[in-house]
Amino acid sequence: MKPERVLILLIGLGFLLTACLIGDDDENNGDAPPDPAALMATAAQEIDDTASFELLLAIEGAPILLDVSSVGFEEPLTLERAEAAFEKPDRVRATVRIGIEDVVTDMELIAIGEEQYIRHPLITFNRWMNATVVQGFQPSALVSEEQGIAHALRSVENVRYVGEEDLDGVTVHHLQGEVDAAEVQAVTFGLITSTTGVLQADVFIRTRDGRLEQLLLVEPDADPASSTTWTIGLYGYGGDFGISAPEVE
Amino acid sequence: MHPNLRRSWTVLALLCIPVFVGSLDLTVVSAILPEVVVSLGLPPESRLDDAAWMVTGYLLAYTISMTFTGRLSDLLGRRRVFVAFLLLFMFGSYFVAVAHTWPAETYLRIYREFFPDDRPPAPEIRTLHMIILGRVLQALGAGAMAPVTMALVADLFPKHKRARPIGLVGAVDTVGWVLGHLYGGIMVRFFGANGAAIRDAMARVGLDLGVPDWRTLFVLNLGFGLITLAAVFIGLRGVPQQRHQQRFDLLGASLLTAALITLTFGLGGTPLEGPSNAADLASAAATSHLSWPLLGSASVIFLLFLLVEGRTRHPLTNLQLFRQVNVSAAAFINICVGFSLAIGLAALPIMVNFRAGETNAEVIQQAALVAGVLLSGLTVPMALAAFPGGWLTDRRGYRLPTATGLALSGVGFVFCSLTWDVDTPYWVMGLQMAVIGVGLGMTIAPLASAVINAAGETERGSASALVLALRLVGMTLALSSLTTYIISEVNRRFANSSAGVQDTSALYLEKIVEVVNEAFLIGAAVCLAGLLAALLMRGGSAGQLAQETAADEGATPLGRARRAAFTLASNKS
Repeated sequence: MKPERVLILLIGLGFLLTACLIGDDDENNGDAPPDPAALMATAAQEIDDTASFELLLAIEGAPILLDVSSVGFEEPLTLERAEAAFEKPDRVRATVRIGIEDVVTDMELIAIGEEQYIRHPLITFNRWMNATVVQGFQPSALVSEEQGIAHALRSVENVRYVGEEDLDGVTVHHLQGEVDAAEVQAVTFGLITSTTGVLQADVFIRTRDGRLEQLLLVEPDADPASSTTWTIGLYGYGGDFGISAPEVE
Repeated sequence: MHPNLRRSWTVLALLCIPVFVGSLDLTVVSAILPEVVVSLGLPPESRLDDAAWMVTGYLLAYTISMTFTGRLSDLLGRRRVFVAFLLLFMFGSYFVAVAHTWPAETYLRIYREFFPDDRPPAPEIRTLHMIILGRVLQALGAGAMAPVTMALVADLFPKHKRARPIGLVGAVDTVGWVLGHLYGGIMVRFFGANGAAIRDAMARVGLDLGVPDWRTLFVLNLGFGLITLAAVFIGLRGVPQQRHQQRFDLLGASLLTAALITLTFGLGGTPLEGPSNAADLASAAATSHLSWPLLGSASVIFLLFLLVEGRTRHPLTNLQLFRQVNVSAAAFINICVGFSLAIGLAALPIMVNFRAGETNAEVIQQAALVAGVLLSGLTVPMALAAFPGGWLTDRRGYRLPTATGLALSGVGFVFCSLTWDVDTPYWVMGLQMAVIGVGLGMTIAPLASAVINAAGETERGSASALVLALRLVGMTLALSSLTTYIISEVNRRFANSSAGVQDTSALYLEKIVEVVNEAFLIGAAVCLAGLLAALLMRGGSAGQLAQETAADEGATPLGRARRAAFTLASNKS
């Protein structure tokens, strides 16, 4: 066969394989819905068992303010998103998307134990500086038995199974319930404004391995249109992120 | 004018529309980039690395497309290739305009399918990646326009009448990318000021289109594409479509593509804009570097390409052509022309930005405007000079316009090097840029004619592509390497002499002037090298070529048949 034809055939097969993979959902048609409590317990246990993970924190709704006046920057900052890597027992490295007036920009943050370090072209002139951006936040809280992510999952009440869904190409179990605001403080890096009351929680657990894919928390508000939604995604379970303290100038 | 010749000019005029539209998009994004960055919610610091690939990706794909579409049109016929690649350009434009919708969603799904455990790229990054992909598709389509049109010149015009039409195609191609920046800037400002009024006007006629923004430019491309399609159909109606029964050199095309991609990555991409202050410069010096392993790989792949081309029966590029002195000289000079052109493009913005001094947004915008006007002083005369270059080629052959042009550019570079200082008036700088532009523009027609006239009937497309691609390769080489050179040299010299200096900005500017003047001397040396090569060129005047054409057409049955077929088709239409 001519080399061109072999190449075309291979490309065609590649496309076919991709199409098959994309369409190959782990469905359990006809079976009874799984036990939501068991799904939650497995997802929580997976978080307890892992030594590290990546975390995506996205906020929509009312602005969340950050304070970096400790490094001499007085402008108000709003938190828009954080992409973080966590390593047990107490290390976090994050890229934090912040808004300064109308401009969005990324700030690097490393938190080890009680110490927090930030680096930003404008705020710290691209140097690592020791600064407490999130008051009272300790990375270890993310996995602590009393207030961590697994604890938040175990605290969700009135859980009901919504169904199996496709979440951006990943097949997940969708569960819905309610959680007390006090139980999700650590999950939101202590930034959630509600300290009391009940939040609506949507939990998405992967059918493939029973791990938590996404946790959606909706803060109650007098005006439902302006309520804040927190999206917490977990990825890269067990990844090696090599988080260490930066050299502070 | 002979009726056939008049018709040929009409066909060419119509086909210049797609050439113009394709090259317009080469630079349109650099004007709208800040708008794109803001609307996607990208942090400004991402602009110089990720978003720059909207420009670099287009330039790379445009060059790659040029290398093989000319040959493809030799094998499949000009019209087919024109239409297919025009449709690809239109699809790419549509893809960019809707990148934030289904393309970004599909990208996410595919990403999660293949990397289920990894954190997916953020929404704005997904959209940016899809915009870059759309730009690549656009460029693959647009890259075909100029070489196929140049090949058509060779189909439509006899050898002794080609220099001026080739000059026209070269000029239109240059005018396109000269005006792209201006067009993008004007349109985005226009949409910004009148967006709501346009939306309301559209709503009144029942079209709910929303407020126009930078995406609208890519939607407008669909309209241009349709006009262009009509132009291609009308223009090529009745033009005999040659299709040669030869194999397409897929291996050669793949190797050349791989070499170009590796080269571009090795050079660190094409810099988007010059740094505007000392902090930018220091940061650019820390991040911009040449990757020698990649550059070495590019050289090895290119050597492999040459090896394959030497052994293939129907190569992508007929290396035998280079045995003719005119072709090898023209190829070398074309790289020199691209290199010289890029010296102006790289050095000027850095100089102007630093002279502006302040770093607030208004001053930076003003500096960008000044740099844009001064660059037009280089590129507009270049496009215009393509016409006298063609005329002179008809009269005196390839050597005189090429050598005169390069001498003129070389003198311009020397003047720049001797006179540019921290306070040189902008009009003086503009005038010197214009001298360089005129010189470079004069070489467009003779160089392209020399290569295309040397090519056989079955390889005109690939020869046309060679002419254009080599100039772009020269530009890419110079843009990346010179910007890296200027930035690193300025920083090195600044570090060596900054001890105890209070006014560091003035010292920076002084060092920039020093290094930029050296870059201009490099430009003069490159022009001199091209000039020496130009002295080797022979023939090319209309009189000499007419004799050759008469001899060819009289000698071969194919030549006689082609002329007869074209005359018949023209009379019918």
